[in-house]
Amino acid sequence: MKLTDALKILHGSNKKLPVFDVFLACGSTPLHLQTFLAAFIQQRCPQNCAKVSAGIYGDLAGNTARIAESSASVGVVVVEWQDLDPRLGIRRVAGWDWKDLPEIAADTRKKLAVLEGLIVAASERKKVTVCLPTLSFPLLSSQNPATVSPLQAELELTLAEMKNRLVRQKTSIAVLNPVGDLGEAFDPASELAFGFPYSLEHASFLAEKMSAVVCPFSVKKGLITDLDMTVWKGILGDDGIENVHWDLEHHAQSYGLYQQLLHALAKEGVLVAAATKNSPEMVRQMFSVRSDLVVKEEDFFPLAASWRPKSEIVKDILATWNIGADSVVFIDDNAFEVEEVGRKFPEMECIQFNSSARFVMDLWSDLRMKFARKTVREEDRIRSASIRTMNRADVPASGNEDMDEFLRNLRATLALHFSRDALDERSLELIDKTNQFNLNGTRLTDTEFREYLVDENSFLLAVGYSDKFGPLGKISALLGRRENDEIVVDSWALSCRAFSRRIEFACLRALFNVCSVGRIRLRWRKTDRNSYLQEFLSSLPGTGLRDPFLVERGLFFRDCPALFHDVRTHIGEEFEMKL
Amino acid sequence: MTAIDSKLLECMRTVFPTVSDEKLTEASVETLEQWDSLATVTLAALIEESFAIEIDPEEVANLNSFRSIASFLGRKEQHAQPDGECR
Repeated sequence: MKLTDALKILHGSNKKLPVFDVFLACGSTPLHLQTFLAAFIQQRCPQNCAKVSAGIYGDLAGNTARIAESSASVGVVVVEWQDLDPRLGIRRVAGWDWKDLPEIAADTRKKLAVLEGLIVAASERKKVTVCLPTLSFPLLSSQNPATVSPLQAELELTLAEMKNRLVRQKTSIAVLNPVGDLGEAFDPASELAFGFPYSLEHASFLAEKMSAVVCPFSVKKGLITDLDMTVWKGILGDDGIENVHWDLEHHAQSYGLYQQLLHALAKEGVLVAAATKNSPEMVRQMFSVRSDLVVKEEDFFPLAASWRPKSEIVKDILATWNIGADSVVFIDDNAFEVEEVGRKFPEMECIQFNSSARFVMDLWSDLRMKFARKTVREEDRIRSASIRTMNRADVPASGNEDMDEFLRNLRATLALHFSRDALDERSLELIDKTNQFNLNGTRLTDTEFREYLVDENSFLLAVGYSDKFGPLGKISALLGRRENDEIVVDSWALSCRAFSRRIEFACLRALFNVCSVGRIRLRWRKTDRNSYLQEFLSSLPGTGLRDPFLVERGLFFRDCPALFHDVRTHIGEEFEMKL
Repeated sequence: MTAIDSKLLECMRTVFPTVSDEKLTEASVETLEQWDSLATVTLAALIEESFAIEIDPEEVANLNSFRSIASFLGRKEQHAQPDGECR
């Protein structure tokens, strides 16, 4: 991005929109880095007015400490070598006597240790993104500058160890991975004149990378891929099973890389489906005969082969998954198919595949971004399997007796956890990503989630489920608080994979029993997509669909349907709340 | 208005979007309240970008009015190499 364009983006932004506030902690003058960061954030978050505030020049540690107390919702810490010891920079001249090198190493290690502590402390309150040194290590030693000196090796090791600890922190820390052509990153004239070490190009590059981490984005849930000339080189129907390829020998390695990525995504819990215009029998044979395929048949659900229009196949897949088109990426080598599906599902991201190595590498990076998650949880791993199971389990369509019998035989177990665990990412994900059973559609940031649970009258109820078909993992999250003889529920989400099991009734029963209250107040609101929630509320005895929705204890227990779950309740030790 | 003046005015508009063109062409560090040191540095970077030149940091302090910047750019152009680069 040019500086001109960055400034125009900022000047053109709507100042009346909700502010997205970022605190930039660096040791140098923030200058153009601050401008570029705000501009990139503004581009990524057009629904907000981007604001980037910065601290005091030359005080990286102090600025990092200020993140927690600032009004910003996220912090970005930018570290360069000269911030750790001025002798590693060019604005001070204290000499580089070889006798000073051990002291420089020791001082730098101490500074890094302090900085690490400050970053971790800040991350307990705010999401923090850390950018470790991107400029070249200064040439302090006598060695050939084309080689790594012992000082450089020692300090880079310290830095690597710090990076290793930071990425494994349970708090909200992200360490920037600024891969790409760093070019001429250092501007010595600017560093000497203004205390800003970066060239404009490098400042723009870093700011763009930072904005990709800092800005909230919707992670996609599913990927639908074509097969011919996408997963393999060749047309199955024309070339035959033995004559489609994905290896170096047949100049088709990029297809193999794509298969590898699909397999990895499937294993990480991304829903992967195939939509192919092929004979279903031929496709089945292909996966049966070609055991050298990197992506396996079980990675796909469903594996949809048909001669119908591609958009109809995609529509069926979406129905099977029960997710919206906006959560899905469609990939096909055929421009016609990409256009056809894109027209039918304008909110779906449709990508035309091409087998060039450059395209596949960029696609790899792009898909990793779209399906990114910090950790792969058990719920992610079992997601595909549970949807498969859900499609096989014949849920009775009619009659309570049939349903009661079905649910009785499920041998279902519910694990209810009452806590104030603000690090429960899965629960926050449920509240932020679920639509059909979402109490009011309110989305919470990490900070808001954390702040909600600071109140000692508040609690998080996280619900795990399994039955004879297998575990579903954590499928419901509820945020509530005690107010006198009431429990007020401010957020509640239930995964659509867990519908039709009366789990929502079990949650309310647990609230009444564990919290010993006479009434539950649900702060619900109608959204475009929470029709399942509305149906549930309509089934409860109450005063109609109003906000707040009151559930009276006596009426609830009188009308509650039979529940057959084996319930295990755990109340967190930190919980002194009189539940 | 010369080509240099027009291009310079574009840069000034980007740094001072709320100021009229008439005021910008007469603006200086003394007369325009918004023209602080940060604006000077930003303006210098924009001019480098727009005119594809490098400005010695020592010269930045002298870029303190529209007229002085326009003169500076005029001199740069006169000393430019045939390929258009200024040295």
